[in-house]
Amino acid sequence: MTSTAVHTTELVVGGSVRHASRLITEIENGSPAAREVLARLLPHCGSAQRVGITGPPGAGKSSLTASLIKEIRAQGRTVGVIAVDPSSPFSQGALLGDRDRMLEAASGDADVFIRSLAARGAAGGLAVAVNDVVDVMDAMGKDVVIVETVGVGQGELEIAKIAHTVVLVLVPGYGDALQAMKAGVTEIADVVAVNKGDLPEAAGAVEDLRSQDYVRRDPTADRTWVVPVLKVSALRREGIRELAGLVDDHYRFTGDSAWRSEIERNRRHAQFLSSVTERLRAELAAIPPDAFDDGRFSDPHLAADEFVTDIVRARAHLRAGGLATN
Amino acid sequence: MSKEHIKVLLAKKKIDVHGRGTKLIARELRDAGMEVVYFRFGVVEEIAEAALQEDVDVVGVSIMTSGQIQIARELIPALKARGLHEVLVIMGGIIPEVDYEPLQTLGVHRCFPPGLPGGAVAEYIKRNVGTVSLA
Ligand SMILES: Nc1nc2c(ncn2[C@@H]2O[C@H](COP(=O)(O)OP(=O)(O)OP(=O)(O)O)[C@@H](O)[C@H]2O)c(=O)[nH]1
Ligand SMILES: [Mg+2]
Repeated sequence: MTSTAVHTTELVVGGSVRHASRLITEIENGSPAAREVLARLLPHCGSAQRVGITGPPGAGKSSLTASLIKEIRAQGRTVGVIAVDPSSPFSQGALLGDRDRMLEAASGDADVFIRSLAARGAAGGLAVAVNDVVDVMDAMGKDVVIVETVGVGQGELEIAKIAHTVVLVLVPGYGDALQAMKAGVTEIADVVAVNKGDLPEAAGAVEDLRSQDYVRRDPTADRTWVVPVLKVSALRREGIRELAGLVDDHYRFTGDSAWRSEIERNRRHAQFLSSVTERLRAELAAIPPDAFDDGRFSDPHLAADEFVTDIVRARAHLRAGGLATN
Repeated sequence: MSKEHIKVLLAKKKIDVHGRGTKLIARELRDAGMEVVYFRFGVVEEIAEAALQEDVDVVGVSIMTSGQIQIARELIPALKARGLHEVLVIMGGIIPEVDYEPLQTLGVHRCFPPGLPGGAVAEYIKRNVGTVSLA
């Protein structure tokens, strides 16, 4: 197993799409073998610029991503894209349609790696997988990794932890969409792109959003990033260069203080938390209803208290060298 | 063979405007629990490249006009050249029955006529995914 992991690691770092692609499938399936490879890939990670593209359904996220791919490729940088679409809660199946919208930008260009992922209904599990796939593309040497997620539900909060810069894509008449999103602009957006700028209502929408004076506070220094609001049109390819420029500006801005390292630390912390949560969830799901025959489950909170206390105590015991002296 | 998550690439020629059949199949496969990457291609290489990047189990090509023989002639080697030897390749849509045999000789595993009862394609995929190789 380990020698396979070493081999796979080398191939992925060498840029093998075949091996990276298979590894991503294993990551999606939560395979332990994938974790071993990921651990080996980690030293090769850290150079990719991570961009999140989120917003309501149909706002033009994929179309804009396609335009951004072209812009980034024109600068000579390589791109990886992770496009997440929801799974059907009924059949567990999914229609992954983002790739179709990006085809024009990617076709015939081996330096663009697009991967569609089905959300598979796991709230925290998705973030685990997406973060790992980001690492795979990073280790492959992609200069920029773009993650597209639909901004309803939990998705947009996770994206803020994954990306260096989150682009929130809105369209004229965005009011209802904003309400449907759980997080507000202030919480997630580093750049706001008002897409479909070719529509007449766009100018008003941009003005409205600008008048809100959204800012993000640098947690490590006494300064703020003023969230730019930009009118774009993926359809007409207007404002794309400016959008790419603003994304890079924000990336540089966070790099000018300790903010960037804070972002990296927070991402790894979030990854740790969701990974533990996911794996414990699987362990817990395996506990049968008759696990305690003394009726403790009749008070589920008490049973949970005891359970968690046991885990915390066992961990403290191990840390104190309990394992070694045992 | 059954697989927990079957991933299908469903491709249709960009110039074929009649995409309804393809969308219908895409939905049927989704409703059968599959993850379906739907996309339109210009050249056959794009199908193979997408299959590689998406690591799909099945490649389905929807034919609305013609060109199925040429597509198969290019597609099968393009898949093999990328190391995708175990992918199940199917074609569907408006294909004259006389072409079924030559298509299978070229490596297409199965051709489906249009208007099949819902679920027939899904059924076939579930039974055959992971059992084939592109000789
Ligand atoms: N008028 C106009 N239409 C656009 C523009 N950008 C995208 N669209 C259209 O908006 C629709 C949705 O575009 P997508 O790029 O698929 O949007 P999305 O946000 O990725 O959609 P989901 O992934 O399904 O949530 C398509 O019909 C596009 O053609 C634009 O700038 N102007
Ligand atoms: Mg999309």
